[in-house]
Amino acid sequence: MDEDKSRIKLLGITKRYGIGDAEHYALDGVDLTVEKGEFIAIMGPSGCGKTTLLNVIGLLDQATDGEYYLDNKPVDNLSPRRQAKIRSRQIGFVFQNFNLIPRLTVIDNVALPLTYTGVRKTRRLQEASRILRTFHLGEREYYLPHQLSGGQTQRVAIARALVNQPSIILADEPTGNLDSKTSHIIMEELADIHRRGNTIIMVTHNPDLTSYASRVITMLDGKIDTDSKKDRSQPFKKKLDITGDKKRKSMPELVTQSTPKKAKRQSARKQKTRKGAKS
Amino acid sequence: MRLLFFNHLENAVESLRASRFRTFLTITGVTIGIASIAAVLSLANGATDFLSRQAITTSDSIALVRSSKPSTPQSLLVDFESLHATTSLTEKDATELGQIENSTAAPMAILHTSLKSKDGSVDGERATLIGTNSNLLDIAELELLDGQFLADNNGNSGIVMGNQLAIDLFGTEHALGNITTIRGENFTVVGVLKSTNQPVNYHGVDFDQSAIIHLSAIKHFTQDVAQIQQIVIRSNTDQPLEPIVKTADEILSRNHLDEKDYAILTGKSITAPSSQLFSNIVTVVTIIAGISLLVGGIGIMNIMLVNVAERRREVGIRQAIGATDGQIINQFLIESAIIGLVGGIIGYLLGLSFAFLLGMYLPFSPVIDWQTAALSIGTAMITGIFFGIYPAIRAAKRDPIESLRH
Repeated sequence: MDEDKSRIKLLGITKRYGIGDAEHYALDGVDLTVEKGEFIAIMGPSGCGKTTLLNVIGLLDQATDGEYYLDNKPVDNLSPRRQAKIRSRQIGFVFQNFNLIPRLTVIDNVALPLTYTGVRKTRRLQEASRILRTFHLGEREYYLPHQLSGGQTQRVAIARALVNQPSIILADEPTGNLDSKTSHIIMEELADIHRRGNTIIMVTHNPDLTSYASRVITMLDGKIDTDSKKDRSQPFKKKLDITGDKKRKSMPELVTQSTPKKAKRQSARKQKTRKGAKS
Repeated sequence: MRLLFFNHLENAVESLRASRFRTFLTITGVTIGIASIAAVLSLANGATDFLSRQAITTSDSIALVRSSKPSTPQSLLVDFESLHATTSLTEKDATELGQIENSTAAPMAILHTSLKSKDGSVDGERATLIGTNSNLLDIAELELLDGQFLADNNGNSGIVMGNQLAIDLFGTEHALGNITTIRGENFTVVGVLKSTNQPVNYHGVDFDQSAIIHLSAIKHFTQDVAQIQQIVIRSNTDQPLEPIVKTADEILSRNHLDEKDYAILTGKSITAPSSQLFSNIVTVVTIIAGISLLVGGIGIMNIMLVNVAERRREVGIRQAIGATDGQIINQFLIESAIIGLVGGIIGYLLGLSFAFLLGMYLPFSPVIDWQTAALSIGTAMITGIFFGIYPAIRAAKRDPIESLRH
């Protein structure tokens, strides 16, 4: 059971840059297992390989050596095309500098990942609109990214990362460009997504923000230095098991149907419930 | 895949619209190339039509006897002067050919000389003097605007004016009775031809710019020996041309003592030299027009490279959220194909209107046919795609991490 629930399994992941004298290890034999429903914060000084690790997990970067299992399937030697498909269906990215496409409206930006999975246009926009409403951005749908505040922009980016209902959300310093107040708003959003059962891996510099995570990993010189699961993650896990029993195939119609019942049974916040976790 | 195509299309239109001015310039490049090709092709088709129409009218009933056998069709045109130089055809040939049954014949002695009137003069480069007999009117299907044609027994001082020449010389096409002087001899205008508007025809002369006098009159200018460049034979209505040509050949062979210093042209071979040379010219001009299309294509490539560089980050984002290399390539290819297609359509329309504008000053008008349309618009689109391939591949092969950092 535990084995099945591991979303990500890294064995001896190594990333080497340069050759000969200039040889340099960005990642030096990283072993890591991420289970479903974890919220991991990766900390560490600049240049310790945090972002590289995140890119390897997100299949944007290719490890030089090591094995990578995503949902118990090896993915390290797939063709670029297959890797793109996995990125499109199973991974959602949130970036430090938001990375919205400036000439597309908010709703088009959010709907963009769906275009690469072959969803029809009307359906795409419905889905994007629905998810934007859960982030209270329903009235900003036809704004352009530059017309939004930093916090709003990042919320749009998170909405985009979620629209495909990915198994993992990878966030590379999601609050790096935001002031501390907005940072906490964004972290609340991420924590909320986590509570709904999503797996999140986040890279951050800010130790304050690790309080939102269920597990904190610090890295040093391409290796994992410390790895501590926090007690605080326990209640979340329990909650997760409850929702896990009522496993639904993530069809939005089903979600809206079951929402009222869930809302009674669970906290008021569950109104926004959207089940992202799927196997 | 089909869904993605429409999505890309929408995307491409969006991003082209985002940089309107640049798109406009790029499209202009293609437009100019395609416009010139479309203009050349539609005019060429018009001209080919025009020439082949003549071939049809001539092929049934006209035979042309020319002095000296041309080795190739081209040499006849390239050495066009040889047509007007001393010839091997004699008055005797002309008379005897005229006596073949079921046919009429007219000799044509052509001389470039200046004509004078009391109002002015037209020099030999623009005017052609033709010495012939009364049969030419019917054979060359000329029509009189005023007066009458030459009569064979009616003295030598009558002259029939081509329409344009009459205007140039007398300031009016109603020039009957006026007197013109050719090399010191006076001729009275007895007839004026209707405008033929056919500067290119199998006779090798433009009747609008010609003055026609009797063969016996033109002899005076060439030491009393008629320099007959060609003899036109026309079979009578419903009479086959072949036996007539055969008889003509026998007569000429006998007169020339078996020396083959003449040629009898019939049907297509009359127009062959001009149409063959013409199609060569069309090819050359089309290639030159193609060069401007090439420049347009390089323009597309240039803009697409700028586009790709400028949107590098966007490409990185799209890759990060799951676009495959193929999807990125398609996106940019569709963009450049749209540039090509729009340039092609505008260019075709522009080229066509330019061709019609030119056609107003030419004896023939351009032809609208689907082949030219398909060819020019298709070429434009292919150019767009071809020159878009490299930038598109370059966009897709970028490392997404690098692109995102950009």
